[in-house]
Amino acid sequence: MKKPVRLLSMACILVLLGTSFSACGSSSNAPADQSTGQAAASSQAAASEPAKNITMRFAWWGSDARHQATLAAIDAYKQKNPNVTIEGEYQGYDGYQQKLMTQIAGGSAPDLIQFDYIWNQDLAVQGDNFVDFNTKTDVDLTAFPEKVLKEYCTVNGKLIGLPMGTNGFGLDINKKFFEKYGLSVDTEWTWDKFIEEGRKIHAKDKEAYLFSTDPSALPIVVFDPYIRSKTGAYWLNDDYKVTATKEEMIEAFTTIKELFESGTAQPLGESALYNTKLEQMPKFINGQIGSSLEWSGTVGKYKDVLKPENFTVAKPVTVKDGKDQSIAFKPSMLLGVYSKSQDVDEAVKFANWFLNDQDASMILTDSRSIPTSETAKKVLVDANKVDMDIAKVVDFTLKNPAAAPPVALSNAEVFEIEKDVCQKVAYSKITPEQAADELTNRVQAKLDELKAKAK
Amino acid sequence: MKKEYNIFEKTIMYVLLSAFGIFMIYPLIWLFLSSFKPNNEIFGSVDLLPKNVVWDAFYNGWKGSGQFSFGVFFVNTFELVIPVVVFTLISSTLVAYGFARFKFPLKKILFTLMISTLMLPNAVIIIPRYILFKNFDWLNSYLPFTIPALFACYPFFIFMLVQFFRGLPRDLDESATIDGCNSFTILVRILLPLCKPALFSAGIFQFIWTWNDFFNSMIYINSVKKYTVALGLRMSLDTTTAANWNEIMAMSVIAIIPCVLIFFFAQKYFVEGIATTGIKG
Repeated sequence: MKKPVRLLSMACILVLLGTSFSACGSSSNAPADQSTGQAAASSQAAASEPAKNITMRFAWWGSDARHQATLAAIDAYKQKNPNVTIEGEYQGYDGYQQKLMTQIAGGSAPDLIQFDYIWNQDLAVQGDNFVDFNTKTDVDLTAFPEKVLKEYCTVNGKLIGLPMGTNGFGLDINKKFFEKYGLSVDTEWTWDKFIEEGRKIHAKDKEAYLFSTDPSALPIVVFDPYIRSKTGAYWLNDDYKVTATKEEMIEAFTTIKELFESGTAQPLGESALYNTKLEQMPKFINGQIGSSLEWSGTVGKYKDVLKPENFTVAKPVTVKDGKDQSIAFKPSMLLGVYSKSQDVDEAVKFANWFLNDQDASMILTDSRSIPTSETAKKVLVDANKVDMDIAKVVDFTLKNPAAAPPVALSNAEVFEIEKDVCQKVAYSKITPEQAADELTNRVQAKLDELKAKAK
Repeated sequence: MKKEYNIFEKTIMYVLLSAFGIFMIYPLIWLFLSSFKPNNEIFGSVDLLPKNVVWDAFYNGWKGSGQFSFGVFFVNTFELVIPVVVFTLISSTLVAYGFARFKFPLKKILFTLMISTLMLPNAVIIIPRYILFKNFDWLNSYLPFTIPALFACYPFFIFMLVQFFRGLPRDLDESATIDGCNSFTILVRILLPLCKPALFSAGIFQFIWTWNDFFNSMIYINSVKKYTVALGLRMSLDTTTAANWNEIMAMSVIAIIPCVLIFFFAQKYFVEGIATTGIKG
C-alpha cells in the first residue's frame, strides 16, 4: 500500500518539475517569435492598407488634470485617425520609474513613454530602448530649441526623447508675507541682501522665516547655483575634475551657514519633516514662510494652497557681481518611443502631433508645464491659456538659460556627498573651510573612480 | 473565581479604556473628517472638525480621473482578491497537510526550500517573475496573482498551517482511520473543522494584504480599466501638482471598509475555533 503511493508521488514531483522547466524554456522563445512575426505582418499591412487598425499604449504619470487633458487629446487624435487606438496607462509618480525599468527589462514597455531626463543614464544602461528621432522624418524637430535637444535629450548621439515642457528655476513668493514685512516682490535678490532682510524679519517675529528649503535640496538650491553664478561654471566639469577653488567653495558654504544662523531659512529640523511636500507644511500654509526656490513645475501646488492672489514668482537669488546671471533650466519630462514597438512610425507620428499640433496644444495647455515646442507654446500664449506665473518663470529662464550640468553632477553618489557636506554646514557641525576640503577630497576620489569606470 | 470590581474601580477602568480606544481610533476619525476639508485645512490645522465643509469629495473622488470610476476599481479588486484568498486557503491547506502528516522522500529538503523562499525579498524576484509571467502571456491580467495562489506560492501560510496541524493530536487521525476514513476524509472531516481559527486568520491576512498590495499590482497591471483600489488611490498623486487630498481621503475611507467588515465578521470564528480545539482528558 505504502510503496506505490511513494513511487507515485515521486513520479508526480518529477513530472511537475520537468514540465515547469520545459515550459520556461520553450515559452520564452515562442511568443517573442510570434509577436515579431505579427509586427512585420502588421506594418506591411499598414503600408498597403491605411485603414488597418492599430492599438498603441501610452504611459505617463501625473495628476488628475494631466490625466484628463491627455485622455482628451488622445480622443481628438482618434477622431482624426479612426484606425489608431491609444490606450492610456496612467498613474501617479510613485513607482512609475520602477515599473518602467521592469517593463524595459522584460521587453514589454509601452509604445509611447513619458520619462524624466534624469533617468537617461539609467535607461541607456539597459540598451537601445528608444527610437532615435533624428532618423525619423515624420517629426518636426525644428520646433524645439536645438540646445535642449542636444543637452538634455541626446544620449550617445541618439535623440531618445522629445521635451514635453520647460521647467525654469525661480523664487516662489508668498505675497502677503512680503507685504507684511515691506519687501518688494520685484526685487532681484542677491544672497547678501536676502540674508540681511531675512535676519531683520526673523528678529521681528521668531516664528517667521523668509526662506525654506528641504535638507536634500541644499545642493541644487544654494550650493550649485551659487558657484555657477559666482564663477560662470559648475564646480566640477565633464572631465571628472573638481574645478571650483577652495575660496569659492568657502564663500558658498558661508552663505549656507549664514542662511541658517541668521534665521533667514527655516531650521532644517522643521523643514525635513516635509521633504518635497512644502505645500503640506502648516507654517507654509499659514503664511509664516516667505519664499522658496523651486522648479516652475511645482508652482501649481503652492499657488493652490496659498490662493492665487497671495502667490507670485521672481528671479532666483544670485551672487552680487557674479559672472553669470543665467537661470537653471530643464525639460519637465520627455516623450520617447519604445524601439520594440510594433508600429514605431505611427507612434512617432502621434508624438509629433501630441507635441507640435495646434489642436493638441489647445487641449493639453500647460498640463505638462509650458510646452517646449515653439509652435505649441505660441498657440497657447496667443490664446492666453497658460498659467501666468509659470510663464513668467519660464520666460526669465529662456532669456538666459544656464548650460546643462555636467553628467557627473547628476551622479547619485556625487550628489549624496554634496548633500551630506551641505547639511553638515547647515547644522554647524563643520566650518565652511572644513567643508570645502571635505567636499573637494571626497568628490574628487569618487570622480576618479567614475572616470576609471567610464574608460 | 472572578474578582468583583467596585464602582470606583470600574469607573477608572472604563475611563482608561475609553481614552485608549479613542487614541487608537483617532487616525481613522481624522481620516474620515479630513475628507470634508479643503487642502489647506488638512495640512494647515490640527482641528478635527472642518471650518469650511466640502461635501462633494466622496462624489468627485468616486468619479476618479474621468475615464473609470472607483466602482470599476472595487469590482476589479474583488475579482482579484476573492480568488486569491480562496485558492490560497485550499492550496496552502493541502500542502501543509502533506508536510505535517506524511512521510515522503526529500521532505526535509523540500520543506527547507519552501521556507527559504519566504526569506527572498520581493525586490530580488520581481524582474525574473515579471519576465516569466510575460513569457506565459499573463501580464495585464490577474493571473500573476491567482495562479501562484492556486499552487500555494505563499510559504508564510503553509508554514502557519503546518504549525497548526502539528499541534493537533495524531490520535484523532488514528481514531478516524479506525472509523473508516482515508487520508483525504481525515483532512476534510476531522482536521479542517479544527483548523477554522488558523484558516480564518490566514484568510483575513491574505485578504488584507492582497487588498492593500500596491507594488505588485502596479508592476503586473497596465490597463487603467483593470486597476485595483490600491492603484486607483495613488493614480493622481504627482510630486509637482497639488492633489485633491479630500477626495483621496474619502476614497481611502471607502477602501478600508471591506477590510474592517471582514475583520469584524470573522472575529467570532477566532474565538469559536479556539474554544473547540484539542481533546480533553
